[in-house]
This record gives sequence, structure tokens and C-alpha cells, in this order.
Amino acid sequence: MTGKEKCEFLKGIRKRMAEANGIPYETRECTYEGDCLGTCPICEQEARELLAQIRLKEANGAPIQVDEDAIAMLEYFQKYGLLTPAAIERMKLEKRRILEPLMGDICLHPDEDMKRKWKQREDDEKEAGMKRLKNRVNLAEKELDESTKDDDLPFTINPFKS
Amino acid sequence: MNKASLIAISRLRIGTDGHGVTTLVAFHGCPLRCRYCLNPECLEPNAKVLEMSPEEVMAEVSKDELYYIATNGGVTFGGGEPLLHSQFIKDVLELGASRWHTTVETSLNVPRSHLEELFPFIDEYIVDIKDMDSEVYESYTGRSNDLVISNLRWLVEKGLAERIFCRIPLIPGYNDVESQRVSQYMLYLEGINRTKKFTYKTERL
Repeated sequence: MTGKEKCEFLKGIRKRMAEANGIPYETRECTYEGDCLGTCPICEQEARELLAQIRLKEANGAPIQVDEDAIAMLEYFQKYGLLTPAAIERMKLEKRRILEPLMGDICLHPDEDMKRKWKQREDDEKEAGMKRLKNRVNLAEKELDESTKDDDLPFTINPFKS
Repeated sequence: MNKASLIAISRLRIGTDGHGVTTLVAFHGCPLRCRYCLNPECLEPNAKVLEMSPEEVMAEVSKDELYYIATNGGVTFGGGEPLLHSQFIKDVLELGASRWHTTVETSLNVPRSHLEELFPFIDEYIVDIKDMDSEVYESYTGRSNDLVISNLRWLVEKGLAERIFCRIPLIPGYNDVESQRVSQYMLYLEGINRTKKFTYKTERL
């Protein structure tokens, strides 16, 4: 993930937060061509100003609105990186599926059915883990038995054996 | 107020240290001596550090409040071992940082008193558990994992199991895939369901 990609992502977050809270907002065009950390003075100032306006609205009784899309954007940003037009289209498509699973569609969201499947898979894995653990214990016991056979020892340690 | 030695404050992190957009506050100093330590500068006595007060840290982390609100992100304390600086972290949180999602990335290999001080404020514990096998743990870190296990149990007894996320590494030369699985299963028996297995990088980038 480059700084430029991060910058684009953060710009998208600012835009959505402004829209969600009814604040007119226009991002200033960045003319810097090199890479950055997403913390240039222009971006910092935009974020500061926007937060100040949101806080002002909050002080006047309007609770802060969070656009759920921002969180969806975060997930897709992590998945696809730069929000190119194609990535945005893909995001919209998947978001549609997330919010409105269609009949017969493959649901990407952890709906109840998916949750059940995941739970089942987790349970299966745990059961398999338990089996592996038991096998290890059995194997270790077997090895121990083998190594302590009377025949292998130079003298007997069994007090009941004459 | 007290000052702490930090190796970095890393802003606008996405998907690396907890939920949403986060700022990582990384402390100097660690009780462990792990062979593949990601931040060995934490251990160097003469490392270049930032000496900062809680107010200064708060001023820095506040810069990204908008993104924390938008993504349910917040501040992650790491390092090094952040819990050794529990009083400092508490001071930062009491200055207002507790209103955001608060995460600690910790080994949990610290005296209980640090946890007792901080647990009411922490939303998530990312625990680098290394390996549940005490011999593997000790050979890799140079310390026993008795405190780790005891602190984990204490957190679970406090009803905080859901806040714990354990990272179980495959440590080349120290454990194996089977050992990872056993660790995961042992954690499950302790009541911890949120775990992730991964492989340590053995070379610095």
C-alpha cells in the first residue's frame, strides 16, 4: 500500500463523513506527484476543518453520523488497495451483495447461514485438533511403553516379577 | 506528569494493529529477548527514542480523530512491551483517548499489577503468545511463560475472553505446525476463541 493509495482512501473517508453529517465539502486537488504518508498539510487541514464542523454540529445537538460505507471502504481498501474506478465498481457490487443478498446468490456477508457454516467449520477444526492431540498422546504413551519393556533393560524393575 | 521513551508514533495505519484506522504508539523496552524481534531497537539501551509526556502523545494521536470516528478505529499501544508503561497509558487514556477504540499489543509477560491498572480501559488485547509449550517459549524468548498463562487466565476470569486475540506464530527453528495447532487448542481450552496462526519473518525487510 503506497502513501498515495492511503491518501485517496482517507480522502474518500472525509467525503463520506461530510455527506453523512450534511456538511458541504470539496477536496482540494493534490498536485504533488511523489509518494507521501497521507499526512500532507492540505490533507491534515481538511481533516481538522471537517472534524471542527462535525463537532460544532454535535455541540448544537446533532449527533455525529457515521457512514457505514466508510467501514466497508476500509475493508475493501485492505482487500484491493487503491480505489480505482474498477475497484469502486467491485466494491459497489459486493456491497450490494452484502446489504441485499439475492435469492440464489453467493452471500459474502456473514449472514446467519454463513455464520452457521463458519461455526461448523470451527467445530470440525477443533474436533480434528482434539483427535490429533489424542493421537500424539497415544503415540507418546506407546513409545514410552516400548522403551520401558523389561527386555530392553539390563535388569528387571518389576517387583512382582520373580 | 511522567514521560515515556517511545520508538515511534506511527499514524494512519490500516488493518495492521486492530480495528479501523489506528495510530500505533510504540514504547521502548521489553522483558523478552526474541530472536526474530520485529523492533530490535526496543532493546537497545542507546536507541534513538522520543521522550514524550502523555499530553504530547495525546496531541499527536488526536490528529486522526476524524478517521477513528469514521472507522471505529483508535489508538494501539505496542512496542516493545506497552503494559510495562501502564501508568503512562492510563494517563493518555484519561486525557481523552479512551473515547476511541483502545488496543494493546502485548506479550502479557508482565506483573499482574499493570493489567489491574489498565483493564477497565482496554477494548482489545492482541497477544503475541509465541507458543503455549513452556520449553519452546523459554528457548525463544529467554523467559518463562508462567506470567503469560496466569495473566491470560486472569483476563478470562474477568470475563474479558472476547477482547483477547492471540497470535500464534510458526517460529522457524523453534516450533512446528503441529505445535501451533496444539497451542491453538490449549488456548481454546482456556476459553480463548479468537486466534490467528501465521509464520514469523526471519529476515528484516
